[in-house]
Amino acid sequence: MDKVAFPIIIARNMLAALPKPVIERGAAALMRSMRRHHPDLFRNLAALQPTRLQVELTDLPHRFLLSFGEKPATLTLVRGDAPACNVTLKGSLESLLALLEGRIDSDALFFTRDITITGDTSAVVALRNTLDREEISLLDEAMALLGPLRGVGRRTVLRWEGRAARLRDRIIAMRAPDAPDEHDLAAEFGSLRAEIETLKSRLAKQEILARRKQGVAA
Amino acid sequence: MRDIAYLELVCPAGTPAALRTAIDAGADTVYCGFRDCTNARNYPGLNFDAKELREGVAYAHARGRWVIVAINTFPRAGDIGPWHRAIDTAAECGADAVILADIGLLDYAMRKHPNLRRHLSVQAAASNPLSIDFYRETFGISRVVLPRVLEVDEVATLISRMKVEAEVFAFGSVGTMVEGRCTLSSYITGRSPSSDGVCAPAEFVHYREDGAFMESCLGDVVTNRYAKNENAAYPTPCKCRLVTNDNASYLFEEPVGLNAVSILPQLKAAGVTALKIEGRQRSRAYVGQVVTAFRAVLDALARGETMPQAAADLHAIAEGGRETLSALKKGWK
Amino acid sequence: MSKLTLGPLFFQWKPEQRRDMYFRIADEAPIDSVYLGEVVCSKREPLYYDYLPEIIDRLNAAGKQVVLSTLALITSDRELNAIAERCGEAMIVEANDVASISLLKGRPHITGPFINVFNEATLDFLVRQGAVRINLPVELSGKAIATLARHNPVETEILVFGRQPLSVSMRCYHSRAYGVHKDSCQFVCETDPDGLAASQLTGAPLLRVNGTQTMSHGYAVLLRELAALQAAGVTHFRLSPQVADMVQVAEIYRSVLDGDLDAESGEALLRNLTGETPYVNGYVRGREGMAWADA
Repeated sequence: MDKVAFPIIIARNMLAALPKPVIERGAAALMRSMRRHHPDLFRNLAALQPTRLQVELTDLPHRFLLSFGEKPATLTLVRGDAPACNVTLKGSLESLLALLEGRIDSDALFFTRDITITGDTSAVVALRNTLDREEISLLDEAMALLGPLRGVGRRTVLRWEGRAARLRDRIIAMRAPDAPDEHDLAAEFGSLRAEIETLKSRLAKQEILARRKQGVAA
Repeated sequence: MRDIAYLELVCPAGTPAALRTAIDAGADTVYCGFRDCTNARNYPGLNFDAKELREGVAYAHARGRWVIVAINTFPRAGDIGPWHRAIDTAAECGADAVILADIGLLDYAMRKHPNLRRHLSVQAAASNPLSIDFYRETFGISRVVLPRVLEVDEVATLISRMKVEAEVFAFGSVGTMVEGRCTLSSYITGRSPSSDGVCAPAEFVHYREDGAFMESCLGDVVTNRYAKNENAAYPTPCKCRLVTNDNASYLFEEPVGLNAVSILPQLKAAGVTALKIEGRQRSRAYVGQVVTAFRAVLDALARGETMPQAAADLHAIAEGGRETLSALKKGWK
Repeated sequence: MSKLTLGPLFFQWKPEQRRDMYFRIADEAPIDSVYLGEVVCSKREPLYYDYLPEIIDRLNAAGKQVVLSTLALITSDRELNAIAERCGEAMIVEANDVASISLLKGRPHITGPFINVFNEATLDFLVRQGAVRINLPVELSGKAIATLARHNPVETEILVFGRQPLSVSMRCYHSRAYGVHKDSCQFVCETDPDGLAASQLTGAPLLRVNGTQTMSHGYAVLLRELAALQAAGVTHFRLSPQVADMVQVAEIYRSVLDGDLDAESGEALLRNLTGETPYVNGYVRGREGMAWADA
């Protein structure tokens, strides 16, 4: 499986510690950098339906508004009340970055309720598909902006590689809580199930006979 | 002649990036569609334009692989242009085959591009030897994608009476209805796989938190309710929970994914020559993982190993973490 | 002149119930064509097969055209052989699977609503193969129906009354709902002569299960659209048998088709015959099938 690099702790700590105006300028800078490196992405975003997507982080006190379609895409920090938006995407920083980078399948994240979507689901589908066309590392993009901190980031990357792998494993484990030694339990499970099916079948037949006897009409 | 190990691996490419990922991960063939309703995965932000297809074909051919184009919806009355253009463009771009379902389109493709390989889509619902032979004799199809509703024995019997190649779904989402003739989605949303190339499109999907529960809805229809830590699923109509005789159940099918990896030897013995992975609407990451795992499995089987370790990876990826052999297993009906 | 037809009975009624319905249709109903035969499940036909000859005789004696309908999904040799036999008989056959079309090539036949005729090219092909009447899929909008009907050199038929067949499967959902397996189903589908209700978790109705077939809960009722469809060139109007007085249903539709009764009044009369079942006309209006527009 491909290894992933998520220096999440650094990113999260920074986002928690930095004052809002700095984050705001950082978001704008990130967008400018992305546009330079991925001009096709912005062209493709402009072709989508006008969308205002609110990103709500569950592990940080920040909300972002991503706007695209028709007008050039912008990413702004939300201050104050919830903005007018047609879809909200909620999740932890880890999950959302994984979603946007397409490193972990977004359906998996959604199915396991790590992220939730309220409002126009198709806008998220459109965004996800459009992002998926690019080979993007959002963290690399963000780290590129940080200059001197980059060295720190790289060292941390190695340390937190395992963290991303554990995220994936956690998701997989959440989906299959009873998946230990498959071969050992599979046979027993299979025969138990077969027995239950037989009993259910017999019971169902009894019920049908009973219905017939009563002459039950539809 | 291509060098196929064990079975041809036919993989989905929703975007050019996914096409490259699939090829790099070991796909023998990738299938894709154009950015309109001529294919059955017509989702926003997905699919190829002519330039991207041309580039994708070049990428694949340079590595000895194939690209085939799905033009598998049913053209609308009075508006057949987009479908004819799609077939013409696929031919111009050097695609290795087109996947078709509509009788009128098969006729057009055969007459206008006789040398362009024609595969019969699962949406043509060819479920018996006579139907398949009809398509072969009348429209010169070289391969049929078999409906996902047959057991392995039935697949074997069918193949023994067929004179075309057989491709079978081996992994991914499965509908339980005969494809190309299911209007459940359009009954609820007005959009269908046959005409619009979408089933349960996302613009009709919404989720509602209701206390401890989350409700999934398609249009005005409540398709399911999930408890707090229960996995959610995408609300396609055939995977919803319905009430019959006061009993709530997954009436049509559980929301599980197909994973036929454990019966690949039986499929090969039945005469299947190609495996189809479903999922053009899935992410590049998913495609990479699935194709890598299947490549490892097929290579191992080609070397004579029995159940390769890579098969275990696929169990984890299967939709919702729960998987099924679906109709391939006896007793599904 | 517009023709009224009675589509094949999709449900598994008791054989005597089936026969009696057809006798009444023969004797009393203003219907021009009657479709007989099993479309849904090949296991069922042996149970009522013996009644078919006398039903056919009665219908013929009443001057009604008899059409033999065939399965929508053919997967076994037994089914193929049975249909091949049917195609060899004198009566006209309705093909609902491509295999049947292949068997009927060159002979006059009817294509059923389970054959995907969405566009002119496909329609032309089927006519070249020998189709003399084309049933259009239930999903088509009025606009598409009009385009195809105008283009069609032979007869065009559409469903104007009854539950709409939405999908077909190899799996028997009726059996599944009752906890049995298709191979030993004991014909549970007989328990629900108008289909088994499959509702949403909220209790709101949605679909009806009928063996391997899934249908709309609502009855398609296209009375208000009849005039437009006639003008567009639709020649045959199909009533699908439901648990309702089909003779009276036919009389209402005949009156509206002939211009002797307005659609709104016809609908009011129809309501008396159909109990609580909601009506739908979404497809013909270009919308979701389950919608009902009463304007």
